[in-house]
Amino acid sequence: MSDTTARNSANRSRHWRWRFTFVTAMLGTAATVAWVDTPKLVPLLLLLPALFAIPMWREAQIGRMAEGEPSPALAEHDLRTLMAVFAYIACMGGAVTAGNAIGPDSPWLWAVALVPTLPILVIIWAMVRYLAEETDEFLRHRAVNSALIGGAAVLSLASVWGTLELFKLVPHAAGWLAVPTFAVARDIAKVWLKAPGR
Amino acid sequence: MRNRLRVLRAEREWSQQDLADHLGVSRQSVNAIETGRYDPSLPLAFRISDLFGLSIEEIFLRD
Repeated sequence: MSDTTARNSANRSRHWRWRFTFVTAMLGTAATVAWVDTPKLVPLLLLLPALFAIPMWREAQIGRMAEGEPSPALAEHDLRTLMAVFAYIACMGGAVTAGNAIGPDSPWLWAVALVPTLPILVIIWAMVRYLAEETDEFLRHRAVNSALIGGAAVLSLASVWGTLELFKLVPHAAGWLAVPTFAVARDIAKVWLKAPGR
Repeated sequence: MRNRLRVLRAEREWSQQDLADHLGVSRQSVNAIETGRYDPSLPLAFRISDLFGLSIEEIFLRD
């Protein structure tokens, strides 16, 4: 194995280790928030995945440069997404605190509850902008394919889970899980599409 | 679709990164085209053809 190949492999491995840690922390936080009634701890819990997002983003940039994918559009997308993740954490923390303060009967609860959804919409907007801004046709092609696979996975899971829910065979799944499920499925698709022989 | 990109590149002693820089694409793109995982668009095929001074049919071959 050449030095460059070994270095690229080490970069890739570090990046995916941070990505796995980030996703696990996100899912762990979601599970804790959903199943443990500790609303006051939510802002603190959300800080954990945020801390893992920074080294994950940094390793992704280093890895892309080393692998010959120095796409400015992808770097811009990653930065927008990272900012939106931080905004989501801040908004969610603020909304939970404000929601507790104003009480469940206040009409303002609608506005408070909608605030954390705005950064999620920014993340979706960043994905669309990336496809419009990417000038490298192969990277765009791969991004479109992985997004299609991610979308197909979400639609399939939602249809199957929803039907099982109708028969009360599985517990209710929150609708907001669509975005993280899409992101995980899209990332798995990206790795699969990069695999040798594909 | 098969292509002679690897041979043409080797004749000029270019690395994949060198060719990517000439074409203004990522090294991953060059790798994907060379290995037949991705067929380039017509505008990119023309850029490749112009770079090597060959017609598209002399670079890209039917399966």
